[in-house]
Amino acid sequence: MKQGWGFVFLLSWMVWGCSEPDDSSRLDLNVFGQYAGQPLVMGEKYPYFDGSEILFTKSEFFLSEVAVRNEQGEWINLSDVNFVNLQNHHFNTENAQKGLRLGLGRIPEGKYSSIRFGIGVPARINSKSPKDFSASSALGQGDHYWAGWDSYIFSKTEGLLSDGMQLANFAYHSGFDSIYVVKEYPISLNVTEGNNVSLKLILDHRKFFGATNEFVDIYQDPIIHDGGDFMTQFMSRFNSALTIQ
Amino acid sequence: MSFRSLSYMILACLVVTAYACNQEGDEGDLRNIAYEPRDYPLVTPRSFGPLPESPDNPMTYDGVQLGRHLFYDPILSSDSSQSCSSCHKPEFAFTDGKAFSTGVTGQTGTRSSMSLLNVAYFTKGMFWDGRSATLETQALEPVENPIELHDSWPNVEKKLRKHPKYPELFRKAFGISSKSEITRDLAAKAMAQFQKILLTGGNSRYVKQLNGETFFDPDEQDGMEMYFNTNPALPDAQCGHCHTAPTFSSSDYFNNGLDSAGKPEDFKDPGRGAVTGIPLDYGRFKATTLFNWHLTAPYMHDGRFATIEEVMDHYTLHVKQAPNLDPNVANLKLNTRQRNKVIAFLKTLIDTSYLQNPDIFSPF
Repeated sequence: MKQGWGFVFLLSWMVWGCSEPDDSSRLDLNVFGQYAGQPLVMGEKYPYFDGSEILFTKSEFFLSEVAVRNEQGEWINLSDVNFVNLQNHHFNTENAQKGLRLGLGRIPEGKYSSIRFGIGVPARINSKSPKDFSASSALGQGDHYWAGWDSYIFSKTEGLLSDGMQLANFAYHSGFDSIYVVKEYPISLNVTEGNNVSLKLILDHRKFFGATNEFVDIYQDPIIHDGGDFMTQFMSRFNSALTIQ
Repeated sequence: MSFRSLSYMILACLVVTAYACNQEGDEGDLRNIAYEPRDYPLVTPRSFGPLPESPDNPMTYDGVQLGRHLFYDPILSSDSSQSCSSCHKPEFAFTDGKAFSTGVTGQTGTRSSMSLLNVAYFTKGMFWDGRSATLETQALEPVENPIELHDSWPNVEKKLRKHPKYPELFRKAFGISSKSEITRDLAAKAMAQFQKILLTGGNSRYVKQLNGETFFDPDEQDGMEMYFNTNPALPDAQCGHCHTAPTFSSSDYFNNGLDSAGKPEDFKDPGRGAVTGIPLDYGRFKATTLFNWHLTAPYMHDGRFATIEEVMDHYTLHVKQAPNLDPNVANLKLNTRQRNKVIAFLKTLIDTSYLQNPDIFSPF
């Protein structure tokens, strides 16, 4: 009997001894879809610049190469490719107010002054296609790849615009290496041992379409067909619509 | 007859009964049957990626064979008249060629039998509305559905345990020790393994063209460029947004304009919305694979279109508005000639080589 307890003790010690204590913290990004500063709820109508009503049915994008800069100026890589799907989360006000949590992995103790990431996927990933990944991952699913472009679809923004007279079902998709830009955002993050931290990523969908003095004529251009100027400008506004808090 | 003789006779009867029960009942020991699991030699279509991981249900040769037996065996139905294969026939790309299938009680459903080809690649749910998360959970449903096989799993488990062959097949597939370990979950796992071998597409002309092994004629080429919208001189057919390469299907759900609706409750069939409760999901359905579409008529979740021409007419002339209408089907402008070119391209997605795999057919 004594030998049995001894064995249990030994086993426990081995298990305990073999596990590395993990005191590092976890960094989450809480993604908040908004429209003109208000929580964005899929399917709800919002006023468009021209007096029409706009509603969104889909908002999804890849968010890649997330890294944070510490006090020493070093960049710490956190996660490679993440996929954000707002339409399956922001379907009611409560969820839209809470935000969609995106786990970015472990972050070492310390102070951080910047975060950087890109919307879409980097060229080294974009040179591949879904057949190179398991269908379990977003990169392995054909829904997120446009064979006609030989590119992953970096972002999809879809919905409906109507003024009672006209109606436009819009689909603004983006892709191509030239669109991918890694941008840096200032943060003030103090990570202490064992305490999880989070940042807010706010994405104001109204800003995708311009401003009061100059905005996209959705009735005229409801679909992005290629990687031309329209897509470039749209993604430029998309990146500007992002803020980190 | 003396009391002693009577006692001996009763005792003998009890012994015989006990022996018989042990032979035919649920407790039969199966450990004398070899359990030697080996991988199933699965070959995925060459343009596809690896199958989604399934660590809880690794595919084995004997697992697939058990699933194959169950798939084709009417033992899963209440009156032993129908099996899964009654509505999913290999020669129809695992559909049944009907708008609605008829179950064992003579009742018909409200949705068309879906093609099972490449279902292994669906990662966001099974059935037209995604109400089952995985193939393993999907396989449990038809047995107890009153408009399908209309049996109960306790009864089916009982039938399988008493069957002269199935205990051995379960033993070989999953290493169970006794008949009592035959469960619905193992049966479903085996049927899921079988469905994962129903793959097609790698020998289509489309894939051969991708690999430089054949060339498209001008109509096929134009059709492909419209399908994927790669030629500014041709209109966008938009097909590729929902029926995406490489599987020419999607794990996602779409409202493709079959019915008009001012609000979600207006849809006659709520589709995905009944599963998620999300208003925008009402009237949305899965986009199944277009590989071997020529075998899967009639088309759509309710089999409303008899021919591919009717399908193309719908997308170009009769799309109906709703708040969640997929924007990619709302703006099509194709003339008859262009529609025919798209159909010419769709014909390059035919790949009936899956019918050469003997493992997909009935073992009976």
